[in-house]
Order: sequence, then structure tokens, then C-alpha cells
Amino acid sequence: MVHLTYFFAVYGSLINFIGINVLLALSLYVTLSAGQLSLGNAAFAGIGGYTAGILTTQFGVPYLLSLLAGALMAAIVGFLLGMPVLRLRGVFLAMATLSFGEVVRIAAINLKITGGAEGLLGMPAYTKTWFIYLVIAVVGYFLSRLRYSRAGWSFESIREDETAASAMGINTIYYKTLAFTIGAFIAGLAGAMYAHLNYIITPGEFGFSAAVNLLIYCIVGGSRVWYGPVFGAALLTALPEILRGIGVTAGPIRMFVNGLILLIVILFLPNGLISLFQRRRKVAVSVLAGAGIGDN
Amino acid sequence: MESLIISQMAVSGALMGLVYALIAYGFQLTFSTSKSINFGQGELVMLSAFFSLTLLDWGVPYWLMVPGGLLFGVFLGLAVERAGVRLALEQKSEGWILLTIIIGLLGFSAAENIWGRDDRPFPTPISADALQFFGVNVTPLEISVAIGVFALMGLIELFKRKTLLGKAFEAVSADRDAAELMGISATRTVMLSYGLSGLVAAMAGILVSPITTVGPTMASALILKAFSVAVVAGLDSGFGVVVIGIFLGALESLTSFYLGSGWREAPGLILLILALAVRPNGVFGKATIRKV
Repeated sequence: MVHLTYFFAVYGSLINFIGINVLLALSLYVTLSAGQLSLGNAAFAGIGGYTAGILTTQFGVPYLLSLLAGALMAAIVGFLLGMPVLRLRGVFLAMATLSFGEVVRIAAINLKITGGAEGLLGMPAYTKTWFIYLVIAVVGYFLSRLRYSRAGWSFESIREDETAASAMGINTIYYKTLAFTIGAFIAGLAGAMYAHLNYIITPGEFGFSAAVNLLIYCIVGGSRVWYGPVFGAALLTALPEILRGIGVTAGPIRMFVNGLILLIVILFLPNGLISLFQRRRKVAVSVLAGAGIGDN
Repeated sequence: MESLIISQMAVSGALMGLVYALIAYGFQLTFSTSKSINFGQGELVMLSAFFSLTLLDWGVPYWLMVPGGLLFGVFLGLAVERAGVRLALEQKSEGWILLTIIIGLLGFSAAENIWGRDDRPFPTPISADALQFFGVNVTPLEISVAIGVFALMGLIELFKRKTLLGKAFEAVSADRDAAELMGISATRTVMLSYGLSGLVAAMAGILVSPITTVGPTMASALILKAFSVAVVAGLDSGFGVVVIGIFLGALESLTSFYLGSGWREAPGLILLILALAVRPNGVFGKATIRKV
């Protein structure tokens, strides 16, 4: 028991960050599951974080209500953004959502209410570790149910071939916007929780590199099943600590090792690290695959 | 007086816009052959600028440094193609998006470790003393940017139209499979296009760094605006990027005049999202019909 307390004292904040990153990765997973490559989810987290932070610090709104407001705000912005940009495919969507992220960052730097470049200060530390993991469990359950619902199958078919999906009578615009909005909601929720984990949030935390990191979590973990991004986010958030543990110190070498791991995974495991574990089960799965239930 | 300030802002903004156009043109080159672009193109601009600055530090004369810097850009472009794009394209996945971003980030950290984090001035023999045209101040340095951009784009377009290799490039852009049946190697053409886009990036770096100084973050703002220009104009628009680039540059400089310099970056990005809502294939783009 003493060991456990010690462990939490040292790694408590890492465990919290892993939780937040897992949630953010899950938010991108929803968008990716409908084949839409978004680099805007970090910005949605920023919108959620700032909304919730401003509500608690300046208006004294209760914690849970401000979380909900942050998530809803992100979802509304996601919906409004989704209408024009989801007509784009592939690279173009990535570039457009990237630009959207920059707009949010610039707005956060220049507006008075967000505290400018120094960031928003004074959020009380309401977010507890158990609460983060409770939310992950709920979101994970929701996503695993969603996967086999009507919407989930529509997402899947849009990802495989959008033109064919719309020829089959699937309302692609509706389902793409739905996936985008759900993703924005989860990202906003994660951002709102993050805002109440630290005393401060700054515009830079929700910028380009954050957006890229989310994509890396999903691709490295595997974006075909909901626990892939969970695995990727947990592993890669902990990786700096692990590398430190085995003697790779901070600085250029760690960056290089990080980059190398990513290159290898992307080139040789297109379905992510999670596909390593799935390969063993293939015999069992292939029976189901004949009925169109298998994943790959 | 007011109108003079406005035209002054618009002209210097428009000249900056030409640099966005040049980088966006680099996106077009690779997109036309391989339907992929280098998301780390900004790091190519920055690395080439740093390399050229190092050449100058070694005592290489300015006019010899230019081809040296451009060759380095070509080399970087080819390296990106080999390391990040080729395998991912063979797998027909979109992993190249992430791979080019990661290669860019590696380039960024390499630059920070080799050259440090500070912004450094970039010496140039071209004068920065203003000349007056109809009351508007323009420096020879800014004119050199315009000349460099148009000369390089003109040369590359000429190359594509007049030489055999250039015609192979056009053939692969038009129809990859048909070109391969005619005996053109699509892989080599994609390599060529990445080399050319590296060249374009290096040119942008050399042209812009006397104005902006050289530093690891010098291209991060440039690249986002080049994205906007490329998407708004359309990635198959040829010289459409020039029109949009000039327009965006002028708009931006007027925004920073009226709303304050912090909002400078915003109009391009908002323009991008608006343009996409109206014309998803770009203002100058052609609508593509997708076969199932």
C-alpha cells in the first residue's frame, strides 16, 4: 500500500496526462472511423478547455456543468465547421482543419477573455484521476456500441468507399458531420477536463504539434478498433518516461528514437500496433469475417 | 494620404504573397504526379535557408551560394520522397501525410541542434533602400523576390512544356497508368516532382530570408498560408496560385494595419474555409468526376 502511494506521488500526473490523451485520441478515432482525416481535434479541445475554464473562473459555474458546456461548445463549432469542410477529401480536409486549428490558436492569443498569450489562469483542480478513467470507460463503451450500430456501419462504409456508400443510399453528408461532431464533443470534454487539471492553459498547448500527436496516437495504436488509439495514446505518452528508464536521455536522441519508432510502425504496420495482437486471433475471426463481421 | 498608405501596404503585402504562391506551387508539382504533398515543406524552406546561410559564412560568394542552396533543396526533396512518400504510396495508404509531418519535425529538431534557436540576419548584396513608384515605396529586395518567383515558375512551366522529360511529367499528371503503358516510369517522375518541389522550397527560402531573417520557426507561418493559397486556388490550377497569393498577401497586410498585427494570420485561414464552402475544388480548380 505504501508502494502504491509512492507510485502515485511520482507518476500521478503522468497517469492523468495519459488519461486525457487517451480521451483525445478516442475523439479523433471517431472522425477517422468515418474516413475523415481531421487535424482540428486539438483545437476542439482548446475550445472546450477555454469555455469551461472561463465559466468556472469568471462565472462560478459548477464543475460538471462547465464540462458539459465546454463539450457542447466544441460540438457546435465542430458542426458549423463540418458543413463546409467535410465536402473535401483526404489531404484537403487535413489542410483545412489544420488552418482551423490555427484560427483558434490565433483567436486565443488575441482575445482578452482567453487571457492572451500568457494563457488562462486560476482553474481549480477539480479533475480527479478516477473521474478521468470513469469518463474513458463510458466513452469507450459508447464507441464500442456505436461501432455495430447503424451509424457505425455507415461510418465504416464511408471510410471504405465514399462514392459507393452514397450510391448504396447512405446519407454521407449526415454521417460524416455526425462523426465529426461526436469527435468534437469528446475532444471538447477532454479539453475541459484538462483545463481543470492544471492551474493554467495556454494557446500553444492546442496547436499544430498537439494535433499531430493525436494523429500519431491513432495511427500507431491502430485506428480500426476503438482500443487501438487508447493503446497508442497510453504507450506514446508514457514512452518518454520508459525511454528515460532504459537510459535514453532527453534531447535530440529521444526525438530521433521517437521518430524512428513512428516511421517503422507506419511503414510496416499500416493497421497499427494493435494489429500485432489481432493477427493471432485471425483464425477465430475469419469465420465471422465471412459473414461480414470481421474488422479487417 | 490614407489611400497612399493603403496602396503601400497592399503592394508590400502582395510581394510577400508571391512567396506563398511559390511554396504553393511546390505543392502543386508533387500533387499533380502523385496526389501527395509534403506537409513538411516549411522545414525544407527553413533548412535550405540555413544551409545557404552556412555557405555564406564559409565565404562562398552570394551568386555561387544560390545554386548551392537550390541543389540542397533538391536533395532534401528527394530524401523526403524516398523516406516518407514512396512506400506509403505503394501501400495506397494515407500514411504519407503523417510521415512527411514527422520528417518535417525531425528536420526541425535537427535545425535547432545544428544552428540553434536564434533568428539570424541573412546578408544579401541586393539593396534594401526604397525606390518610389507613384508614391509607393518598393525596395530592390522586394523586386528581387518578384523576379525570382516569376523566373523560377516560368522556367519550370517551360521545362514541362518543351522538354521530353517535362512532357513525361505532364503525361504522368494526366494519367498515371496510361503513361506507364507508354514506357514512362511513374516512380521516377514522382521523384522528379519531389526534387523540383524541393528546388522551389529552397528558392523560397533564399528569397524570403533577407526580409524575414533565418530561424527554425521562420517557415511555420509561411507554410500555413501556402496551404491556404494552394487550397483556395486549387491544387491543379497552374498560375492560379499567383493570383490568390497576391490577393492573400495584400489582404493580410491590410488586416494587420486595421486590426493590429496579432490578427495578421487570420484572413488567409478564414478565406480558406469560406472558399472551400463555395468551391471545394478551388477557385481555379476543375471539378473532378469520380468513377466507382
